[in-house]
Amino acid sequence: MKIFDRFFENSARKIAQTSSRRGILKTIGGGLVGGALIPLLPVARAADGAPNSPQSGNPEQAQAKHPQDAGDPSSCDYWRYCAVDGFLCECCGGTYNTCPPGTQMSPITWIGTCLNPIDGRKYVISYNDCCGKTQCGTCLCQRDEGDRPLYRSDKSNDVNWCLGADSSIYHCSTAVVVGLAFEPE
Amino acid sequence: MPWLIFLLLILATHFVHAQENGTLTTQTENSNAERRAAFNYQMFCQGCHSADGSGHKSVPEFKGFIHKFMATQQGREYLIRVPGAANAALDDEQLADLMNWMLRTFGDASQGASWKPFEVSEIAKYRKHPLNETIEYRAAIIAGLNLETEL
Repeated sequence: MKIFDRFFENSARKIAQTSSRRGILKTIGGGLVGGALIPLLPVARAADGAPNSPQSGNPEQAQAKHPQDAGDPSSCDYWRYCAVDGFLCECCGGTYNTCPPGTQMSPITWIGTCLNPIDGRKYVISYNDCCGKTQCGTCLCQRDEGDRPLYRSDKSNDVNWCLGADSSIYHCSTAVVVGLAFEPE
Repeated sequence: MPWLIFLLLILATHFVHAQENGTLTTQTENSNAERRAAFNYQMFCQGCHSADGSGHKSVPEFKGFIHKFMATQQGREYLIRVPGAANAALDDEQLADLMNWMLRTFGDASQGASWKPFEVSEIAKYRKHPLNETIEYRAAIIAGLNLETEL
């Protein structure tokens, strides 16, 4: 027991000699104030998604835009790509929800749902094409879950959605989470 | 006498409880219909009309405008007869909930009380006659209402 007593006494004395009570208060205070300022950074604001969408006022839907995530976004097996048909922007200089530099995201798109294996919930995914440069040519991915024939054009991934952009030349595809799928309470 | 008061108390508690249950069920049903309508908007409309109903190029906008069609019977029918609504893969009740949700969400809130929500029976009747010449029909309605729009 004496060994323990001596060990803790020495440790306490060392801490007392090398630190001050006011110093600890200063560190904790700085951490609290710094932590509170993080949401004010421009990066966090930009990641909030579409602020004008009618669903953005709903806290559940707002949270749904940042689902728990797992997997490799440059792999076709990634859960958000369950209905994709094209080149993954993640391999083309963009990410799974942003376009590569020099391309424009098509404002019209087709929308489906994918099951997130982490929380077992279905999410609404918008497959916006990136347009304005020739085909990316890497990471071709075709999974087509829920894809419908061309006569149901709003649910077909064979449509060139770049027709809604300034240039109709297709480059790659994104998979943007826009909300949670409906489940009755 | 005390047993009578006791009995009345039990009955009153039961009545309040039943009423609360009824209110809760109605609230849950309303909440389900509202959430389902928002989801159906995402699934069947948002891809072209955008998340905030602002539309794009030749895709008409809803924002601050859609409620104006409700001023006339022809405009009211038009909203259900446009191919996107009439041919949507939704049953009449779901389409009624969706259209009323869109009117509440994208219509001008200050005039929200001036229109009567769509009934399911109306939806069933109007959607049997989908429009062919949608653009011309819309232009004629807008001219008749003396409205100004880019589309």
